[in-house]
Amino acid sequence: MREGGGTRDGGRWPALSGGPEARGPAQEAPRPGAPVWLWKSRPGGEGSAFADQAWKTQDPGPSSHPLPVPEQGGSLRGRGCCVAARPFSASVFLFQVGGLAGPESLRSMKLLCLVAVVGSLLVPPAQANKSSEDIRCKCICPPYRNISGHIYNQNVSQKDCNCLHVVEPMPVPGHDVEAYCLLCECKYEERSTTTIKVIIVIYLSVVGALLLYMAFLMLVDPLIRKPDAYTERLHNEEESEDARSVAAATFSGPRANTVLERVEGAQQRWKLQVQEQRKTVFDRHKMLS
Amino acid sequence: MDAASDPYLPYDGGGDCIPLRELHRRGTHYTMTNGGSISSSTHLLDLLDEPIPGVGTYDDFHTIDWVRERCKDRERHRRINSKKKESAWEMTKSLYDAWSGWLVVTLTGLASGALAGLIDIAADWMTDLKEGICLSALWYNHEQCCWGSNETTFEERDKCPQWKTWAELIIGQAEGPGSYIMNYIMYIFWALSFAFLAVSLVKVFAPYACGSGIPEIKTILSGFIIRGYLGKWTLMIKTITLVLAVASGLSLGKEGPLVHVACCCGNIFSYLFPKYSTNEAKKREVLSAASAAGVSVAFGAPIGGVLFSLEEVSYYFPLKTLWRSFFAALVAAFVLRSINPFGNSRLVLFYVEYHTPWYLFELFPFILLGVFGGLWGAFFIRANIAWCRRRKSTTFGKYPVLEVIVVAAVTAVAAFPNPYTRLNTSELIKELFTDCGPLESSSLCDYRNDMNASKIVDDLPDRPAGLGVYSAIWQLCLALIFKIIMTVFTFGIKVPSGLFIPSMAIGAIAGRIVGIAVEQLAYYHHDWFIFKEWCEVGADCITPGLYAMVGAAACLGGVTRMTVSLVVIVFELTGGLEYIVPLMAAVMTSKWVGDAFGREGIYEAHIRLNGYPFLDAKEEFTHTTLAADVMRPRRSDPPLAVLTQDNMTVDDIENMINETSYNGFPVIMSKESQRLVGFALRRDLTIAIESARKKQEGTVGSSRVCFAQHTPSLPAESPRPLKLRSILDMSPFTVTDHTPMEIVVDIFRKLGLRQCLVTHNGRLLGIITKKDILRHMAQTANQDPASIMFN
Repeated sequence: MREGGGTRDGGRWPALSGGPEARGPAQEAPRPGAPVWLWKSRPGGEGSAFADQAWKTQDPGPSSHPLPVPEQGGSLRGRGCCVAARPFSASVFLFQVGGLAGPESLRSMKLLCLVAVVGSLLVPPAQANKSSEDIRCKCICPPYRNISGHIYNQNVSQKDCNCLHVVEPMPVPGHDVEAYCLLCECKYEERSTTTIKVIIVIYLSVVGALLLYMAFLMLVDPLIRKPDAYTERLHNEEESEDARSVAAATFSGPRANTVLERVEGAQQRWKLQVQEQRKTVFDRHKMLS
Repeated sequence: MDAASDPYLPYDGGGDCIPLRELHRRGTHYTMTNGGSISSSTHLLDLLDEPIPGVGTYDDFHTIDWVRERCKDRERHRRINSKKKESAWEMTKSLYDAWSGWLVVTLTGLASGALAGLIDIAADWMTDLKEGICLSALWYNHEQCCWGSNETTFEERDKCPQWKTWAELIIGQAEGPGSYIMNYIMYIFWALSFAFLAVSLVKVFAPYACGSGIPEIKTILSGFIIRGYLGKWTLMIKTITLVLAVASGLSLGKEGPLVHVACCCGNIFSYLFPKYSTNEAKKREVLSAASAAGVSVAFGAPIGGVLFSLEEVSYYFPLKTLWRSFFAALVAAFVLRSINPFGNSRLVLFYVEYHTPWYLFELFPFILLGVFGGLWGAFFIRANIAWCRRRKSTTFGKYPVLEVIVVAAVTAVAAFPNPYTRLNTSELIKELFTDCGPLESSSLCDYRNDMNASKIVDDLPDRPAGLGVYSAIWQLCLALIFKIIMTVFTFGIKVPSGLFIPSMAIGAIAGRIVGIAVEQLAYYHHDWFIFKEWCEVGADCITPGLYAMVGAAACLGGVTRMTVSLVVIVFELTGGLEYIVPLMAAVMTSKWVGDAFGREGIYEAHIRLNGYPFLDAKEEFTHTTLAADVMRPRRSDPPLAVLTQDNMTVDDIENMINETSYNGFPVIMSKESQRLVGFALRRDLTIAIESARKKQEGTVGSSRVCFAQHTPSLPAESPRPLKLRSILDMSPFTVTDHTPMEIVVDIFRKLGLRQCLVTHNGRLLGIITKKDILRHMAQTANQDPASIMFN
């Protein structure tokens, strides 16, 4: 168990660190206090007491499979990472939405994103046991003798992902199975449906919010507001420099007190900035052409 | 009063700051500042008791002064260190300060990895939306939709009943000319709507989000301020529209813009830490690390990302930044890997793994591919710059939205009939990189197969090409022409557009064609002396996929003129160490060939086209001019606008600020002596005077402004003098008027100066700014010096 019980990396580790003493900590059973994703990825670890359900379904267990072959070990390591990363990636979204959410002007979008993030945080526990949908073993068998090529696709765990388990019914008689199976290539793949769903939902809601805001800026804003410098120039970008000073003067007026006014002020400042950028890029062609 | 705090002694601290500084004593008015309260050797900015907010910041489109920023940071660091011992709280603060560099790159790596995952998944989904939709779960792309399906066949392995093409949904038939036309129409419709949406979002919310962003980031990293270029809105819009632009099928990639996205993350997170938010030079260290993280997630090549940052983007890259870049790249790659956007446990779609060896004679076709890459690069740079110049200078540039729509429409119309251009470009590259095994069913692998098929999978011999291969070659040739033309017109339109992927696709197509040609040559002429030794009948000696990879590297090298980082990126893409020599040969050849036609890469060419103030560290300055020839004012100009240290009033200074547009004013002792005291920046002056008028009582227009340590004796009834010594830079750089320009240019490059004063016999004569040098260099290169913008 000590000698080869690890992954491919586990086998290489002692050679790198140069001594049998160094092998001890690398192979020792996970500590309860350690971060989950650090130890969960080791196939030999007796981590099932701490592991979530997703892990349990895949864990070959130390007794049933003491010596994982190197190929499996390599991908097992990756799989552990992926499973563990699901809650992690959700928290990353929190980050990124925090960074994305614009100034005060986009309250609605912020809220929407928040809802999406909360949703994404709630969804993984509910879906953790559905991970069977997330793995597949796909065997591609090329044409052989008079049998045409075929693709087999089964929902089996990684240790069963080979031609003998997946290709059913076997199209060749018993003595030919070995030759046929040598030609087939079986690939174990996995995905995270939750991540995909959450990302697409977040993406579409952000695009939707932006579109709504754009429509608001284009259509509603000019109606509820007196035609001020901003809207004039939005439609007529050829205007001269003095519009800018007029606009700047209107907004640098008395300081706002209520929250609403401050939001309004921030929005106006942002609009001015974007206008400046638009002039630089689209009209004067000073940058980015 | 210790000697170390004497600001007029030669510089003795941190040797990287002012090694070439000239020492000049400044008259009798020299007195100690600050009373030695802070043991400092670099009083570039004399610290006030209460600093005026805003002093030391920069305006939009201005150049930063690296020396000043670095010294400011050292000052701050010294202050924190000296306070460290005082209390536990100060200790914590100093620890936080020490760690904030690593913290900010960690956050940047996390965010850029997550955003890259989002972009990858969303772009895949939207690309497939052009063809059809997954009825069972709308958020799946084609591949994911057929994930568990057992109905796929060997020949049509991407078909499954869950995935419906638009023709099936709308007119109910999957085959026939009607469905083809319906699919065609829907393809064009989606491509146009994605492109329109992208360009309108860019135009309405964040115009800075368009383009690749690498030229601008290069300029920013060299010390230039573009406000809002790395802001929140730019980040959001760039992320959103990048997906749309990629999905619309335009001939562009997401790799370059990902660098911009990562830099936006770096900039936003640096605002959380005062160490980085208040110091422009320190912020650029974070941005260097962020660009490494960007390439790391774009290509799944962390080391390549670090080298890219070092070779291509960064201007100032100390070892500390190297380690931080390394770490940021690692974190970003880890996050992206844990999201696993492509389901192949890799960071990129076109990851391939070969283990077939290559033979010596193959170097010849590899070098040929390098020549092709260099020619393509030279052609592309010329053509694209000419087209962009047209956009910049003629009325055609007035219709950016229309331009995007037209380009998208032409691309969609021309791309759909050809299966190789209809594919997403990344998938096309993947298909071209992948070698033909018995498991492949694409027409590229339609070789005539006449031996019995009981051989081992990995060792297929060279075979004669079948009809499918010949038709595929024709289609690839058409795709090559199409890509070459469309990429020239696409790069630079007002949506986020990267150049890496289309360049790689062009190279991969050319490489695959060459590879197949060499393979067939070797098959039919295996008795030629070059093939005789290696390619017997039935041996597998040519790998067309490898040629595609070498071609991709060569074309990318020809366009960007990268060498080391490019080879490392491609090598990390393939995971095969044995192909380093072919890649190096091809990339080096393409750089040589490209350099023969013009020395600059596409990014430098765009920097020059837009006139960004970028002082390239790679260029040589060989002219024999002197500092006196370059400095302002010229002989015919009015004399230099200077301030005197103690006999000007507030009104005088405000008049001078209003009448001139200079960004800084030298301060001299008096008009008669012309001896230099220091240098005051325009922005600092205006801010300081404004705040003094608001806060200090008794500051009126006739108040004397005093830059000296001691206020001169004034009549009793005159208003209180305004002391502005705190904003004075008392150790400005000076050179004599006979200093050769080579040395001046070197000083500017290596120290990152913003301006330098010119003296003659100790008297102030003139000033040289970075933009003066750029103008002078443009002049000596027979270019229009007026093209240097943002004066």
